[in-house]
Amino acid sequence: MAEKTTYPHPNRAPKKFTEKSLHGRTRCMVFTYKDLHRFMNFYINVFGWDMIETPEAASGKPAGDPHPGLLMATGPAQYDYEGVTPGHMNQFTHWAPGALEPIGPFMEIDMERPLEETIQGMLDHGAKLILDKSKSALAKPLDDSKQSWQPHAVIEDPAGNYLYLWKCPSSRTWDELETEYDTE
Amino acid sequence: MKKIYTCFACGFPIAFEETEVPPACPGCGAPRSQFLEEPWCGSIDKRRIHVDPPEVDPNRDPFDISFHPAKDFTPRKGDGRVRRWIMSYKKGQAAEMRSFYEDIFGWDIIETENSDAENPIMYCATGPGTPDWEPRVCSFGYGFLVPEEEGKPTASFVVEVKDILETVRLAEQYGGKRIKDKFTVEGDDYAIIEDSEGNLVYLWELKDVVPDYCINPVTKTGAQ
Repeated sequence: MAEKTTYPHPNRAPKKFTEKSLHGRTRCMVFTYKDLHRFMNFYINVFGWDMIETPEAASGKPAGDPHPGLLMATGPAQYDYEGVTPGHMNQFTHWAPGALEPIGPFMEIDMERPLEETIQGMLDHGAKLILDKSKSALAKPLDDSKQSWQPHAVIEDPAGNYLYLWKCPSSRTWDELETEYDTE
Repeated sequence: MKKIYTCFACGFPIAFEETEVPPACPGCGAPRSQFLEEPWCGSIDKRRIHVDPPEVDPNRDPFDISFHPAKDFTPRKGDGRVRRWIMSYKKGQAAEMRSFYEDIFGWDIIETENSDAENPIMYCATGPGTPDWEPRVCSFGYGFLVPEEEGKPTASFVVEVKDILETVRLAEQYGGKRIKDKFTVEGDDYAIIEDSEGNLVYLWELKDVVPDYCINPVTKTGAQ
């Protein structure tokens, strides 16, 4: 049986996303663990996920770190662990040195716009920039001087949800499967 | 000069100016010495160097987190996929949240059919979608903004399962907890569990639904 219509339909399709941009797409979810083996044992056996250590370029941690970040496929994945079929999200997890950190989406932000300008727009709409590493190990000051695969900012939305924001490096070619956008 | 660099270890191609090449592969972590390089020809698709990704080893130890291509998910028929995210808002804050995500992130937001008009469940399209409001491009998802129930913001994700009772049983066996037994929202069955670490996870039962990739397997992508 093919996939059914699963969700609300107010007699219209979603709007067209015609900008050559992935700004705003929720690419995966970010959450934390306390005990690596216990965490892996749960997600491998309950949901059948497949996982690799997040490369240093994306985690900032050298290979073999005792508390690695993990990049997890929850469904079919390309060799870089981007999804290969629409409809599911892969996941990121990292070690929480203190309490578990808020779960939140790993979202893309505008590649072409200065990071500070993008974040300021959010702050002007009631968001907060998280800098306290005890709230999120991914929190950091804004730095647009280097291209990176690591999250660039942790933001709290007006309701207190955490958003983990990433500005894709200029190496994107727009030939990648995940970069398709609406053309009309 | 811009060049295309293809990682010999995993097959990941990237295009960079020579001065900006990362010291290790962002896909698998292999060192720069593993990169094969060729001149930029206007498109990654037109590159001459192609590296076959490593073969999927069905007998691989699932606890080995060194780089490997992801396993074949076809036999799972969708069981275990993360399908949605959930974020919450304080009651009375719906308009503010809608404005934040529509204005800043360009989302398309609708209220679900039987929502409370004052504090609706809002379904959010965050990128290109199908007419029935499913993402139509890989590697991103849609989700819900929901009114919080106990005065505390809660975010989570929703996992598709084929059998909620069996999944809850497995979750308890592997260190998780049952938080909320099977319940129905707008015609769909859900349950809430806590994982082994204390994170809340929603289960969404789609018993008879099989994703398209199980019927028409995707090929030539490196690994599924």
